[in-house]
Amino acid sequence: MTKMSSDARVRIGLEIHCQLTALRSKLFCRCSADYRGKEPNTNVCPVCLGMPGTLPLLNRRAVEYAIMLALALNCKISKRITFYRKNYFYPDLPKNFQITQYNAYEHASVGVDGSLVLDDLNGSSKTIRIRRLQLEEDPGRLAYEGSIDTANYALVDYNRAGVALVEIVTEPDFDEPSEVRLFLNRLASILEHLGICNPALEGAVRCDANISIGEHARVEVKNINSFKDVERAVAFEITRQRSLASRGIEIRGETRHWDDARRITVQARMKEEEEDYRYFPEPDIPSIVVKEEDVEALRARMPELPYARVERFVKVYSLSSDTARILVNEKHLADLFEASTKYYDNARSIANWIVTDLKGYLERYASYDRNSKGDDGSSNSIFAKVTPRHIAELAMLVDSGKINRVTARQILQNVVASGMLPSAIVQGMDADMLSKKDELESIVNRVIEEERKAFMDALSNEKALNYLLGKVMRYSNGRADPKLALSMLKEKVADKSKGGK
Amino acid sequence: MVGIEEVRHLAYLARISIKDEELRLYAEQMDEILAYFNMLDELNVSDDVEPYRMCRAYNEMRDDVPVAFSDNVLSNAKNTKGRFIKAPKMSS
Ligand SMILES: [Zn+2]
Repeated sequence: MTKMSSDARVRIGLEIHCQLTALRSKLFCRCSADYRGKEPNTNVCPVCLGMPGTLPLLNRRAVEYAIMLALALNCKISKRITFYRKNYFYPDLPKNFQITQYNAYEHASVGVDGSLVLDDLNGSSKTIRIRRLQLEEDPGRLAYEGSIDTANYALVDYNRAGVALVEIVTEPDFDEPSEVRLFLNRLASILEHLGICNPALEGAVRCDANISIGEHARVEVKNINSFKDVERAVAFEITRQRSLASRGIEIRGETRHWDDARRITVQARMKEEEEDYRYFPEPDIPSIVVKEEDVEALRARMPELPYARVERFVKVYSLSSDTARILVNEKHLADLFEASTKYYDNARSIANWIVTDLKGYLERYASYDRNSKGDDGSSNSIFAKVTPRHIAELAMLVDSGKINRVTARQILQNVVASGMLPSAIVQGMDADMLSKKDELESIVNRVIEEERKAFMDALSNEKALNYLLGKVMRYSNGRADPKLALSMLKEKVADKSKGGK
Repeated sequence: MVGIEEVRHLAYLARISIKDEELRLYAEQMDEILAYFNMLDELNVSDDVEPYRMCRAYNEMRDDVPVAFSDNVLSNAKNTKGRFIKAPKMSS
């Protein structure tokens, strides 16, 4: 293979913003940290609106959470934590500066020089270095009437302004988009275990990426709002830069934005450079002196972290490290696993059930949350119905040979819809399975009648179909044969799409 | 010496438009301000005074207890639309 410049080494670094969603108040004022779903500009005060003469007062718990996260990421904790003003003019920033941190004259940010080990890279492992971890305030949010291109002005909502963020900056140690995804999953699990940030909340974790190939200039990609899109945006940017390099076109060092609708990066028009932010020390916030014993006291308060938990699962429950990692990567799965072992002591069997069957089920269906009623589709409502006892009973029934795995999976579907215990469902199946087509027909028709919109969605969306199936299972009190019900629903959908609108 | 282009750039960062004939005036005024700051550099300060710390107090923090602010803050905003504050559209 000839070595062209476009084959040169890819370097990717991340800048991740995590909201400390477990806090009750904002970072520098007493407004509620829970800004979601509120009327615009109702969750504000003179401090977070930057009114003249107001003074910020730092939230102690925010500092504690940031130190805990820094410890979890093996950072050194700064002995003196200070804040800086980052100056820029933008309507989402009422003071025209953001209170953040900066390591200019000494280490002032909460943590520096940390690391996170990716130990599940197809058998090998790799260390990603953390350059710094700092506390800062979230800006407000902008909305537009119609689209951003046609609107004549911006509509500003400051409810989010001043919410506490932790910014984590990595060294450019990633070689591939897939490593970025692994890192973010691992970080999300750490956040969940610490209980300081719920990554599932919309906008709670946001990410910028910087990407360069070989000796070419570095490109920043901002505005990436979901974990899935980070991998996409990075992959797109690598392809774009390689294509430029292979054609001998200069790659400009610039800031680009991720356009999630078109799934491309586009050049940003603002041209602020780092020096343009005119960082200077925030005179209104006294510095925080962190003593060794304060750090040790916080370390002692920290709950078990993912690495330790994986080790314990391997040691105490004899799980493979792969299985243990899959469980721990999603804290709710690991919690469900541990709770289920209280009802049935075959831990490996339970783990197996969760990792293959339950996880598979969630991945296929969990995101269809059409009515935002938390009904049938969302993983929250699934976890409300599938309790440790359900999982333990399913594993037990399979192990005892009473049912096979395929039946067990159908029962899981039934559990999600009805919340009934698997043992009760098996009894019901023996007694009178609603298997005859005409008995089911009336239930299926009733569901289609009541759930018109889901039915129309089902023409193009498999998750909507599953939503309908859940309703059929519920109306039949779990007595319907899910396979038969599904094939009847599919038939109805097929008829509908043939018949046109 | 502050140059004309530096003033132009600062005006861009502040998102204000200034007339060409004002550029020279502002450059001169900034030079005066910087000259004053240069005087501070001549001060002899001992090593244990760190000039970038402006406040003697430390560890002043509050508990994480939310308190709602009840005054209608929108009464201070000139341009509103519903509960939103209207602002100029910036190109991203
Ligand atoms: Zn406030």
